[in-house]
Amino acid sequence: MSGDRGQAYTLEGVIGAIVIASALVLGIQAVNIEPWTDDGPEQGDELRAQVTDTLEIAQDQNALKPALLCLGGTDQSTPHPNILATSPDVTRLSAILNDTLDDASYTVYLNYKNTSVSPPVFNQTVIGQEGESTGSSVVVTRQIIMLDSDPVYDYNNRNCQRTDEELQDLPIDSVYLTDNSKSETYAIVQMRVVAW
Amino acid sequence: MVKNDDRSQLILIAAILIATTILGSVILLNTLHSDADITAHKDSQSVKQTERVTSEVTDNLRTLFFAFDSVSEAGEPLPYISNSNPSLFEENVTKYSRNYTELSTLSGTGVLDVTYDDSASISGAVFRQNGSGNEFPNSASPPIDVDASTPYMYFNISASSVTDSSSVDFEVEQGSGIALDKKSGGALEVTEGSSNIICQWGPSDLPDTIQIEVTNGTGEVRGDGTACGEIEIDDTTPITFENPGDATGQYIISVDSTNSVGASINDPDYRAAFTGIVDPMFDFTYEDPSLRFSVDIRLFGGNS
Repeated sequence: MSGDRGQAYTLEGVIGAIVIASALVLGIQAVNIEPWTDDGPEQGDELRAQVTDTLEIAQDQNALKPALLCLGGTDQSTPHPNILATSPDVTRLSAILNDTLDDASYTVYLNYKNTSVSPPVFNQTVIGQEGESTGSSVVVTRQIIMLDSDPVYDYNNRNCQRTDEELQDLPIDSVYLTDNSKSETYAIVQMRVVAW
Repeated sequence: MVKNDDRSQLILIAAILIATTILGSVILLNTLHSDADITAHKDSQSVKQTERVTSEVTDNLRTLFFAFDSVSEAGEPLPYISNSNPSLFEENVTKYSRNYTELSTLSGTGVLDVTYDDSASISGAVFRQNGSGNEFPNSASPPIDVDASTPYMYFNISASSVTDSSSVDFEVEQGSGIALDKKSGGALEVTEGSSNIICQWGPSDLPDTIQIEVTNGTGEVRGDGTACGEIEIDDTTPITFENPGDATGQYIISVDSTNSVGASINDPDYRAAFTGIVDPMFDFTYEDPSLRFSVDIRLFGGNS
């Protein structure tokens, strides 16, 4: 009889231990520690707003196109990899990004449609060094309309100098964009900034 | 011995009850609290994204509008499209909308649909000066009526060319208009009306150029591209250049067809004028998994 009671007590103890341990584990998981670890969706909001505003300011100050049309990259047809270089700032865009995002790291990609092949494909070019995110990152995009009459810039001695040529004057193979409109619009480029 | 067994069993049962209570609370709170937080955060992100897309697309449509006809016809970007080309412009806006969605869906889920609404767009004329002399006309006649509904007005003035230190130099409509006043000592003021100072610079920080840009009655003044003050036009104001002196620069003024346009089109003091659509209307719809946003956007008149 005492053996039977012992078994019942043991079973009760084991089940009780399981219930208590589960409550502890679930109770600790319910506590959100993300605000203390600089992680979670709210932490990215501020950085996303900062990058969005930076790109808008850059466009208002006409800093995007002179950088995107400063050629000298792969095959001399893409933007030069140094257009975002600093110390000293090579372009107005590099100055704006460096001044406003000095606490963050970022990589800039360009996406554009290549209509010279059939069917058309979307190409991506990275400008400069492609960084590796060390934490949660945000992605901000901005699309820019490039016009036939936009001036072209030439990279020379850490400086993008305006040339006498316009985008419509360039031979097809010497620019990464393709003229996909019979109107004044040359192409649309999406600038994608990944920041962390 | 029986008493000790009963005590320990009692303690064990109490611990199980407490643990069960904690478990139940956690499950209940997770169901009620976290879902609302996550949903609210997703909705707020969608709203912010929609605002950003609206602003970005409006900027792009403005670029398209300024360049579409005028670069080939007038040799420079101007805010009009020719009356003979609205259908071609409509095609290009539709194409832009499609291209925008193709690119944006590479890294997102939003779909844009923007179309040009010719029937709701405003026609009129654009006057501009960008000639070699760049001197502003003096009391040119007949005047152009400008009021709060004027689509677009832009001045770019060389600050050093405003030189009169004893009286106001370069006025647009004496008394109630916009004036650049070079003070004795070299300071420069931009005023609206007779006494409302919008911007001022000292002799040591004068900008090279001063821009005044007004759309639909409100705008801003900038020195070398940096904003320094806001401007507002309330009443119908005939635009004449009073006392421009030797000030040089460029201007672009677009008026709708209800203002005194007809007799002014061929006025040599206003250089060339171009007629056409001066304030286009677009139907804008942006949709993502969380929300659908539709609005009519008048390029120079704000949303409606």
